[in-house]
Formats: sequence, C-alpha cells, structure tokens
Amino acid sequence: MTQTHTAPRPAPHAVAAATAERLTKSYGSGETRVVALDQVSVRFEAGQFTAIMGPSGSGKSTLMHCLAGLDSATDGHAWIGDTEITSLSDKQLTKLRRDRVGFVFQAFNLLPTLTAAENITLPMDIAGTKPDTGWLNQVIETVGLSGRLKHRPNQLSGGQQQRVAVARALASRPAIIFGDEPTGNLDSRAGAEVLQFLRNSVRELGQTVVMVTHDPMAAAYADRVVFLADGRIVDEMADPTAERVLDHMRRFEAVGRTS
Amino acid sequence: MFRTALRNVLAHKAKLLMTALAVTLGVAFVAGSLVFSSTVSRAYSDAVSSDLRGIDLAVTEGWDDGPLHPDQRLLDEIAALPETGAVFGDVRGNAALAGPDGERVGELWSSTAGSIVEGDERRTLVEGRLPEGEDELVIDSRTAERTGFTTGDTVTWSTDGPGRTATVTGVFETEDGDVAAGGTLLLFAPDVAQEIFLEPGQYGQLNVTAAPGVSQDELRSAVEPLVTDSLDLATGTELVAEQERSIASYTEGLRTGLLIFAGISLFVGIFIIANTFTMLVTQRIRELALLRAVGASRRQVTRSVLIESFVVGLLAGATGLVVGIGVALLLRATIAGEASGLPAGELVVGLDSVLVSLGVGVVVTMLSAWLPARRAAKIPPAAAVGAAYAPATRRGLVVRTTVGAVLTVLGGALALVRATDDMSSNFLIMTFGAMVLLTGVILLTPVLSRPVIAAVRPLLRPFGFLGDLARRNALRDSRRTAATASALMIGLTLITALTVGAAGMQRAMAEELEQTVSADYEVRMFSTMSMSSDVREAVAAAPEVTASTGLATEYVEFDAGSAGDGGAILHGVNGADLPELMALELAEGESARLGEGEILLDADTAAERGLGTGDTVALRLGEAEQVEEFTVVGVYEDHRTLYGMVTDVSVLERNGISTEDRFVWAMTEGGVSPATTEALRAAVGDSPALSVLDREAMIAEVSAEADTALTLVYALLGMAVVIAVLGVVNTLAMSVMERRSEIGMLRAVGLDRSGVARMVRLESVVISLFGGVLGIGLGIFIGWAGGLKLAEQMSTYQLVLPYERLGLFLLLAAVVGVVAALWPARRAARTDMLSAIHAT
Repeated sequence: MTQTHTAPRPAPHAVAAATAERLTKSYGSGETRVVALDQVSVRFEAGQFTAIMGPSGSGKSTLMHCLAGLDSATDGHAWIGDTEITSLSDKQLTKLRRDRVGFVFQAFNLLPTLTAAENITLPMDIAGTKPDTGWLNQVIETVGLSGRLKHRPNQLSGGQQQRVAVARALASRPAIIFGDEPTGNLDSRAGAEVLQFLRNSVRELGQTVVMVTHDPMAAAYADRVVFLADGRIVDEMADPTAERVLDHMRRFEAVGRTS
Repeated sequence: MFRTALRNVLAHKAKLLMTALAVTLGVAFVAGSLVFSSTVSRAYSDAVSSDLRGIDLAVTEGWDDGPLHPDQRLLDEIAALPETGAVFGDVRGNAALAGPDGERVGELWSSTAGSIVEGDERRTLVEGRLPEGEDELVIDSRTAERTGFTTGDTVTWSTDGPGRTATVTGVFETEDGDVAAGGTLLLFAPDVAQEIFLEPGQYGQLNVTAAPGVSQDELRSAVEPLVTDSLDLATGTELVAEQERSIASYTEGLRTGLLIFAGISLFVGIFIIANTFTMLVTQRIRELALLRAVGASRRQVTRSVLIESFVVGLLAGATGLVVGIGVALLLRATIAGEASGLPAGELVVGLDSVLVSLGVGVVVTMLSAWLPARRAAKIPPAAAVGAAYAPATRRGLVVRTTVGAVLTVLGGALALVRATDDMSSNFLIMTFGAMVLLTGVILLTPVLSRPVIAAVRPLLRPFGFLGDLARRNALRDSRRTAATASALMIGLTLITALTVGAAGMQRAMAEELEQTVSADYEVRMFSTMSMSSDVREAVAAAPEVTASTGLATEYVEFDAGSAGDGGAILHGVNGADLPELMALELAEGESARLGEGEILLDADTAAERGLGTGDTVALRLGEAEQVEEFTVVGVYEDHRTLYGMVTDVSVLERNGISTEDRFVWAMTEGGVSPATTEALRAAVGDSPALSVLDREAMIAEVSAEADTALTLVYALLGMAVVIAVLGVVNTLAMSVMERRSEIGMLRAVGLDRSGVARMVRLESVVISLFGGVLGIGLGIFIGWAGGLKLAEQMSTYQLVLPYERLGLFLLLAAVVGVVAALWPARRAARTDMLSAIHAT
C-alpha cells in the first residue's frame, strides 16, 4: 500500500458530499505500470444523483471504490464530507463506511441468514447503535417493503432483494450512497424500480447518490453524468436523457477508435 | 476419467488438505500401533532367543498330583551321558530388590531371582565373584547401573516375605528377557536359590547343551529314558517356538487394544472426509453436469469422484504410514525400556503393516466419499446449462431422522435392559446398545442442531450481534454442522462415559473398603500375589500392633452328607482378632470372633447349603483329606474380600495347607501415624516386595489403578479429538470460502477485520459446544447405564458426576472451537473486499 498517512487536509472548496483531488491509482511499477485513475479531480454535491459512466477499463469502478473507502489511492486526495479518507487507517475507514457511507452492489449482497428487516439494519447492528425508527419506517415505506420484512432473501425476487439493499444503504442516513452497477443483475422492470427509489431518495429524502453504470437508461435517472475514459474524466452532462448519453458514448467510442 | 479425477485432486489441494490430514492421522495411528507392537514383539523374541541360545534341551518341572521338579540326581545322570556337553540346573522365582532409597527397583512382576554356576554362558560375570552363602548374591549390570550398587555393597531383598539383607559379590551381564524389560535379576548359589524357591536338591529347569556333533534330537533321545514321564522335555528349538507363541499372544493383545482406538480415530475421520467430498461435489455441480451433458454416464461420474478419493486416500495413507513409523519410533523411545517394562529393540516395519496402513487409508477415504459420489451421479445434465438444481435434502433428512430416532430409542433401551442374569453378557448388550445409541444420535444431529444451538444462545449474548450471526451461520448447513459436531461428539462421549463410570467405581470401591475393612493398616504384595506366613507373624510380633490377621485362602470340599456336594472357599484368619479388623455385618450370630472349631459363613453360602448358626459343617482338609467338623457361629452379609467361609488359620496349618496371605491387616496402638507406618515397615524388614498401606493409602490404591487406566484411555482417545479439531477447521475453512462475497459485503458496510475474525471464531465455538454438549450428555447417559449394571454387583455403587471434570470437558470443547478457528478466522479477516464483492 502506498497510501500516504499525512496530516488530513481540509477540503479545498466549499464542502461537497464527496471530493476527489488529483486522485491517482496505479498497479505495478516500471514497464508494467497500469494507471487506472490518472489525477482525477471531481466533486459530488450533496443532494445530487450522479452517474459515473465509461467503457470497461475506464476506471469508473476504481474511482468509486477509492471515493468510498473500499480501495486505497496511490496518490492524490479524497474526502467524504470534510473528512479526508486518503489518510485514514483501515480501522478508521471501516468505521467511516459503517457510519457515513451506504452501498448498493451489483450482486444482491444480503446475508441469507437474516430477514429483510435484519438486513436493512445490519450496519447499525454492527455498530451497535439503535436505528431511528421514524426514519426507518419512512425508508421501508419508500422502497415498498412493508409486507416483506420477515422474509428471508431467498423468499424475495431479485428486484425485492435489491430494494432491501437500497433500504439498507438508506437506513443509517449516510452522507453518501455509492451504487456499483446496482441494476446490473436485474431485468429492466425491476431495474427501473430500483433506480426510481434511488432517485426518490435524492428528491424526497435529500440523499446524495453516486452510481457507477454502463447502462444509458440507468444513467438517465441521474441529475448529472460524469464520463471517464482511460482513467480520466473526459466529459460530463447535466440532466441527462438516455438518448443523449447513448449519443455521447458513441462519440467517445468513435474518437477512441480514430485516435 | 482418471485424468479428470487427478486434475481435480490437484485443483482442490487446499480444500482436501484437512481431509488428507484426518486420514493421515488415522492411518498414522494404525501404522504406529502395528509397527510398535511388531517392534515390541521382535524385541521380546530377540531377548528370549538370545537367552535360550545355549540350550539344546531343557527338562522342566511337571505335575503329578503336585508339582514335580528335576533334581540333583537327574542332573548328575544327564551330566554323565556321552551326548551331554554341559548341564546347568536353573532355579527361578520372583524377588524384589530395594534401591538405595529403600523402594523397590522396577516392577514387581519383572523382579526375578535365580541361581548361577560357573560356566553358564547366559550369565557372564563381569565383576567380582560368584555368590556362595545365603547372604551373598550377584546382580545384573543394568540393575547395577540403575542403582549404583557395586561389589561389596549390602542390599535388601525379598521374595514374598520380610526383607533380608545380602552382600553383592559381583555383577553379571545377561540378555534375560525380564532384565531387557526393565526388571531386575538377583542370582544366588544354587543351594541358596533352592532353599528360597524350592526344596534342597531340586531345580526348576535343567538346561542341557549337546556334546560336539550331537543333534538336539539325538540328545533328546539319550536323555528321555532317564526322565520320568511327569517331567517335560523340550529341545532348544521348541523352547524358542513356545516362547514366541506366548510373546505373540501378549503383543496381539497390545496391538488389538491400540487398534481399537485407532479405529475410533478413523471413524471420526470419516465425517470429515464425507463433509469435504459433499462440498466438492456441490461446488462442482455445473462441472459434473457438463460431464454428463457431453456423454459421461452416471457410473463414470461416480467413478471420477471415487478415483479422486482413492488418490487422496493413497497419498494420505502413505503419509500416515511414514508419520506412524515416526510415532512408533517416539513411543519406543519414551515408553519402552525401564519405566513400562517393555524391551527396546530394532524398529520392525513389516510388509503387512505397510499394506494394512495403505489399505485402511484408501478404503476409509473411498467409503466416506461413496455417498457424495452417488449424489454426484444424480446431478441431471440440465444443471450444466443453469437449470435450477437443488439436491433433495429435505426428504433425505426425514428418512435420516426417522432411522436415527428408531436407533436412538432402541440403543437407549438396549443399554438399560436387564436381559440376562449374567453380568458379562449384560455388559456386552449394554455396550452394543451404547453403540447403537451413538449411531442413532449421530443420525439425529442435523435435527438436534437447532434446539441445542438455541440452548447455547444465552452464552452468546455477551457477543451481541456477532454472536447472533455466528449462531445463524452454524445452523445454515445443518448436515455439515452435524457431521462436524458428531466427530467431536464421539470422542467426548467415550471420554465422558468412561470418566463417569470410573468415578462411580472409584467411589464405590473406596466406600466398600471403608465399610468392610476397619484395620488401620494393610500389608500386601503386588496385585494378587500372596505373602509368606512370615509376614503375618512379623506384623503380629510388632509392639505397636494390638490386633492383626492374615488372609489365607484355600478351596476345600465338603465331607459327604454334611452340606451337599462340591466345595467352597475357606479363608484362614486370626479368629481371635477378626472383629477388630474386618467390618462383618452379621445376619446371624453374636460375634465374628472365632474360637477352635468355629466357622463363619457368608450369606450366599449359608443360603445355598441351607446352613445356619449352630449347624455343623464337615470339611475335608489337606492332602490327607482329614475330615474336621466345625460349628457355624455366624452368617455374615456378602463381603468384598471374604467369600465363602472363614475360620481360624491354625486349622489350615495343622492340616499341612500352605497359608500364604493375600493381605495382612493390623490395628495399632494410637492408630495411623508416620511413626507407626515406619515401625511396621521395619517389622517386615523394609521388604521391597511389600507395601505397607495406612487407611488413606488403601483407598488411594483403589483409585490409583483406575486413574492410571483412565489417563491412558484419555491419551488414546486424544487422537480422536485432534482429528475432530481438524474437522472443525475444515468446516470453517469451507464456510469462509463459500461465504467470501458475504464477508466482503460485511466488510464494506462496516464490519472491521477483527469483527469478521470474531464472527468465525464464535461460529466455531458454537459448533464445538454443540458437539461437546451432545457428547457429554450422551456420555453421562452411557456412564449411568453402565453404572446400573455395576450396581447389581456392587451394592455401594452410586452414580457420581465428577462436575469439575465434566466442566473441564465442556471447556475443552470451547477451546477446541477457538483453536480450530485460528486459521480460518485469520483467512476470513484477510478477505480482499473488492474481489470478494465482485466474485459471484
């Protein structure tokens, strides 16, 4: 690990939900050095739904992992709120993820031994804190799981499972929720449902969501799309629609091929 | 198919590691037992045959209405034959030597004595001279080395009576079997040895060597006419063969004993092997279905799994063999030799040991993999293309549970039933019942896992949410958890049952002793050997002694018409002192004090013969069958040491019956004290052959034997527990591997590394405690059932639950859990979050 344990730096600008400054991630060294992230600087404003897009190997997942404290950067800085996470130890990162970050993964990462309700409160149970009942009810209401709380994951459909995962991410009122291809394993209807909930949580509950996706339809639910290619941010788009995103991506690919 | 199987073994090296280790340990136990017992056997044979090396013909004692011995006249006659090279008379018996600390050197049974003459090849004097008078002896060089005694020292020795002193006149070297086994050999002049063990002029054995050019058979033909029919003749070759037979039967027992425990270890291993192959098959459903889809038959699929298990079994068996040889080497170094009385010698690795070990490894592994292999064959080819396929476990569990419940009830009933009046067949039925019961419970473990693990829930409460997760994880694959816990249960069941049984026995025997013997002191020899009458006389003569008796025992016949046919045991005691020394509960009569012509009967004998106080009994006594009449003065309740009838020892003495005592009991002035103990020791001449025990020591002696046996059994069953630990490690490692993405998710949502490790550790403790609780519970039941059978024989038997020790076993189960989790927990904590989350 080349993580630098220097003194935490204050966030450079007015506080955003998550910030990256010249964030670099590389593997190997010398001839075989592969740069996954190349001095990426980006801000994710609170109360916004952002999609990160890009072709495979563009570094979109790596960016999310480094911002979420799942992976460590080689160089540069990243903040969750005003906490610089690039200087945190593994233990501190774990605590940060538990208390301030929510996750929705591609595969239905629920514990099969727990009921839906127990899966939702999992991060708080790990922390040993009491969930805010009012909020919890609101979240469960929003994702439409009231009738299924006692069910175990194997008694739920894929879409329902992913909604449990979304509820879990929302339950502890994190500063930011990261989604890693959250609809990747769902059919289009179930996927649309989950995306709708993510957008509702931003619009109605004031959440901040950053989601990695390669699906233009999914990206269209976001307020803003950031495009990555070869480890750099190459473009961004506000208020995207599926057509515009698709269009944009075709252009990239064309540029990529001719360059 | 063979290549596929081989590739699979290589691909799953890590997953098969614990399985292979379990097989290895089991096989190592088998190989160790086989090699060790052949080694001991060979060492004995070597010792014996080298001791018999110089003998071409032996004339040994016979029986003709009494023991018959070769005598000096026969020796002289044989010596005069032209076929005879040399002839030596041998006298042999047991005699103990006191070391410099006054304690006996070596075990009593290998403490021997004999005679020595000039020219005996088997005993070479290396120091000093041959002994002459009755107070001279020579000692073997190993004993000399151990004790530091040399020529000129005065030593104390004893056969079966008070201690005597003698001067060491020399040291000899010998390859005598008893000496090789860590015993002692004291040699006296022939006339002295004859005085001690036989009659003057008699020998125990005549050892003859042939003159040059004379064969053993020619020698035999020449000697035969001189010898009466009643004496036995054996050529050197026959002697060696005879000895080897008896050695073989002894080592056979040793080997069988060890192999029983090795078998238990292997049985435990079966659960681990089955678990692993079940997992491998489940993981490879797609792969196996693909094989079926491209045309492999069911049989071929089964075979591929079986071949895989064959390879694992063979490799593990070979490793086990090597480890086992190492274990035997260690055993030989630590056990053999002076301490245990087993001779040391070259390590013997027979071809049979090698083949049996490898065979056992392969057969056990393949047998355990058989069910998973059959399950593999049932996978439909459609599973290859992603069609949902879940092996039917529910229905299987119903069948399993039903059979388990039936066996449990049947086994429990068999263990409790009192089928016959015969103690030993009752015990056999109980043991069989216990085995059926154990099998039944093993089958029931998946169903039992839920309630039992729910029961340990309060223990997990302090660990909060992680404890809860661990408990649920343990219940996820109930078959696997059950198999893992069963492996631990088996060892703990046996250990607990034996502990409970032994605790009750010890208490009962102590209680019985307490109730039946009131003497302050007991003087006795090793186990069942009897002491010369000198001992009771010496004890009686000691000034501190206020009352004393010996206990001589003789089987006598009733005179016709007196009290029916046959005979009974007649004990000879000091009738005048009996009430002070023995606590006899009189059912009839006034007092247990016996005068001339008086006799006491135990309740059994009295009932059987229809006798009561005031009746007359006529007994035929001694070689002369002299009929003496006795008046029954009392009937006593059955007693632990006095069976049949009791009378004053003078009756036996005057009829020429040898009155050797198994025990001498004494009451002393002022009771037990170290000074009195010392005085009694001095009274019996500090005899190294005798133990002087005060009350406390008598009771301790009763427990000591059971304790020693129990310790040995613990050690032997320890291997089964170690293999069970491997099983827990295996299960956890499998679970951690399968739940990799789950662990990654838990890490992502905020569980730190130590939390992950704790979760795995707690699961391990839950599984181990499950096995522990079942094992201890079942063990208590079996111990109790066995106790019921004992109670029929011993009125003082009561169930004793040694809580401390049982608590220790439960703690051991928890420790097993913690230890087994060390590696899997570390592995789980190190799970790489990102790759784990993305691995689906």
